[in-house]
Amino acid sequence: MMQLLTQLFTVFLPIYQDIVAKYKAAHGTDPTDAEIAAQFEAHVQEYLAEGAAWKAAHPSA
Amino acid sequence: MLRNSLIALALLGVVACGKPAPGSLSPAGVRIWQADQAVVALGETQRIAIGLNGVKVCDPAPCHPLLSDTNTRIVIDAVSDGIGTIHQVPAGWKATGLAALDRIVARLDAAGKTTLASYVDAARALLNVP
Repeated sequence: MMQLLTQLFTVFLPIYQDIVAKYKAAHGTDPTDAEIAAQFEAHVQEYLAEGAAWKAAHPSA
Repeated sequence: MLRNSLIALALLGVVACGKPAPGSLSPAGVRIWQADQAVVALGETQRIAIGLNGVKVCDPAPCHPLLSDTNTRIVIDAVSDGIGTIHQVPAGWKATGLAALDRIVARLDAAGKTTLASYVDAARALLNVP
């Protein structure tokens, strides 16, 4: 169980760090509409690409 | 279950501690900001599913992903559709996001529901934040 727990936190730690980094970057100063729109577009493309990459690596799933 | 709840709470805490929409934004900017939060909630749910798919467990044997490929694909398909729709119609972020999560829950098998329940609940809570 401890090994599984360690594995899970190994997987999720970078995810949490990434979220925190993005939020600090996004909210460190008052953003403009254009900056928020750019962030929105970037997030859309980023998550769509991640899903597509997983599906490409697992074609038979 | 406790493990899942703790991690989901951590995710909820990290993501939900974001400030309300910045006062510098116009009403249109606030709508995009809210839509972006929904995209992040869905996208992080997908990221968690992919992460869980990468974790191998060997009890019971044979070794297998903590979240099966089939369940992972269900999450990715629902999230991709949801994010695509929010991208096209940002004002509908809440209904679209919640519908994507409902679709995930409806299509997962029993093991997938158990594994992902806490994370889906965390994402749902994020979407329901005013």
